[in-house]
Amino acid sequence: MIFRYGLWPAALDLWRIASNDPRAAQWEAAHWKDGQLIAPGLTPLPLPQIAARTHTRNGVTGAMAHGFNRWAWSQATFAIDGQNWTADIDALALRRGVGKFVRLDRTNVKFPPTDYSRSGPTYTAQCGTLVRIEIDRATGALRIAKGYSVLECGNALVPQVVIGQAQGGFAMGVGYALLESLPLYEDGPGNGKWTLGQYVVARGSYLPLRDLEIEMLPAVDANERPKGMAEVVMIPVVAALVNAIFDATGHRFRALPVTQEMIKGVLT
Amino acid sequence: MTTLSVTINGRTYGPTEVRDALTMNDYLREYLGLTGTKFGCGAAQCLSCAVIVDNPDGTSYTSPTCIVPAASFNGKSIRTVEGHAKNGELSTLQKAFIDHFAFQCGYCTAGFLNESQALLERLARKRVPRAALEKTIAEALDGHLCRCTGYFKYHEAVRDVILADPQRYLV
Amino acid sequence: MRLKLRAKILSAVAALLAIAMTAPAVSDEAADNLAAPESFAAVADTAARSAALFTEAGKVLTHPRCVNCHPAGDRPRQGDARRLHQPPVERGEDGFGLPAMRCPICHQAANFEPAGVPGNPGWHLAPHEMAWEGKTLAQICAQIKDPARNGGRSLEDVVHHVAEDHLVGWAWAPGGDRRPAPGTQARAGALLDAWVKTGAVCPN
Repeated sequence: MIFRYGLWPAALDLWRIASNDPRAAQWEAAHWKDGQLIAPGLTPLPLPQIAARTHTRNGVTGAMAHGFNRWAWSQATFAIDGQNWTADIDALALRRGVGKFVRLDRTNVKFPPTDYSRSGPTYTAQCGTLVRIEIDRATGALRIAKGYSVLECGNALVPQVVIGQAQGGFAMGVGYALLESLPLYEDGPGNGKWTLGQYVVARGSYLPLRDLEIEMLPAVDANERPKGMAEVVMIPVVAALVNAIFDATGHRFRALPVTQEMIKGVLT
Repeated sequence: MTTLSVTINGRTYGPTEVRDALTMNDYLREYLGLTGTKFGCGAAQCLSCAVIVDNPDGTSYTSPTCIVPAASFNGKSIRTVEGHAKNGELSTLQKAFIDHFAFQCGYCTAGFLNESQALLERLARKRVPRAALEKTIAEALDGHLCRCTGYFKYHEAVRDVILADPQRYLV
Repeated sequence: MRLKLRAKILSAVAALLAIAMTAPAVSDEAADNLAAPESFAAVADTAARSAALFTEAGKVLTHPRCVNCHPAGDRPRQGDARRLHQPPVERGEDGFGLPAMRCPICHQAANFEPAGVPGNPGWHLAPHEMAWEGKTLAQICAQIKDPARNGGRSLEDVVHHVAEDHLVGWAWAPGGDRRPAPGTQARAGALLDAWVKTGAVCPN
């Protein structure tokens, strides 16, 4: 998007190629090399120069797209600069120059049929998590004092199993956020010598065994179908923990795991 | 090679000639087909391989089997998960695990069952104060790893078995 | 032609003999990682020599094979990376573990190579008073000399413990791919013996 509707028209400008010139439609013949745009028979243009021109002529400088896949991609058409453009996305927003992102209206949106969901993946089963943590100022040691997860999964067939899954997901999120590490290269598990001594997973004593509440919201109505309840119960736990660490320490960690040493390192 | 005789769930197996490098886990699973005892990490870090060893004096302890030579069990008496139910009747703990939905995939469950059973028997010989119960259970079970459950319902099940019979287990 | 060939063979043999005669020095390499007490004879000042001997013995005392079971807290460590022992085991009341996981259950009388598990009949944690983890050599030295913290031992007992104790000796034959402690148990004992005989002076 940025190339087709931002950088390419700016390059045409710099090459002084008019829009009705046949070469104006040959964007696919152009390629990048060493930070320069190369097109047959034309002077190579450095990216910074093209970018500057894109900004001054208010061309597209940013794009955000949304896609959806259910064993096939959703598809939609968008009108840009007087032309229709179809792609395997279902939402698009563009910014021009240094302006804000503006969402484009779409036409002809097609979503893959729900029949395709034969293998059972669930969409929009939701889960949120709150955690309360305590951090020892001297050592950086983190204790999870309390956890709360709320989820909805339509009509639960065996609620105890759903709750159990959410509990296990909490434990897995704790491990992912605070304990588990799989580094690349020679010192990592690829060296064939790793055990659960290096790959540390959460044990019972690290979890709030009496202080985790799982709330399963009731189905919308008796006819709401059951939804899959799987990894979603783990995901918000990670965010909750890292946000809680920010709340406690003022520091935003952007890589996992956040270990005791790392927390200690940001405590003044 | 070593000669191995061992009593398992009340039945004596052997004498069998086994190589010195044979682990107890391989002996149970490969030689005897007692596959209720699992092989998880092979490093005594997950304890899905744990069995109960019964001392002659009536005390018991749990032991991993994945890193321990089969030969070291010669002359010993052990219980595996296959030995908890009697005549098809599940033990109190087994029923509690089921009622509480304590396990999911079941791979760690034999280990948790053996450890919890050994804990109950230990408490029956030396009771603990109610205030120390959660810590006592945690210390007993913490060696066991589980990736499905987060341990919550295992702990609840064990605690509820103990709280249902406080005179026996608690001071 | 024949003469030249014979000369070549003779010189090749001479070279081989030279290599053969230096070979024993190569096999002493392990012991060479820990200097012998005699190599400190050049230090004229007795107190300085004493401290230097202890510092050399300190290479053994602060080695992972030793410190991992002389921890500051209640949990042993594992490996050269000294990470916390997994599974999580604790000292318990007697240093031999909590009821659910006693050390000798897994760590049996000898190393069990098929599983890579170290073993020794006496496997357990050193008491709190004998914790070395995180301490300087000066602190360890003072601790080792203090009967209140060294199990009521005289200095001769300390030397005997290092030089002859079976569990201590495991550090030099740890099995698996664990690095042994430097030198040999005999040499470590000899260093401490020489240290005691020069006044048992602690380094700074």
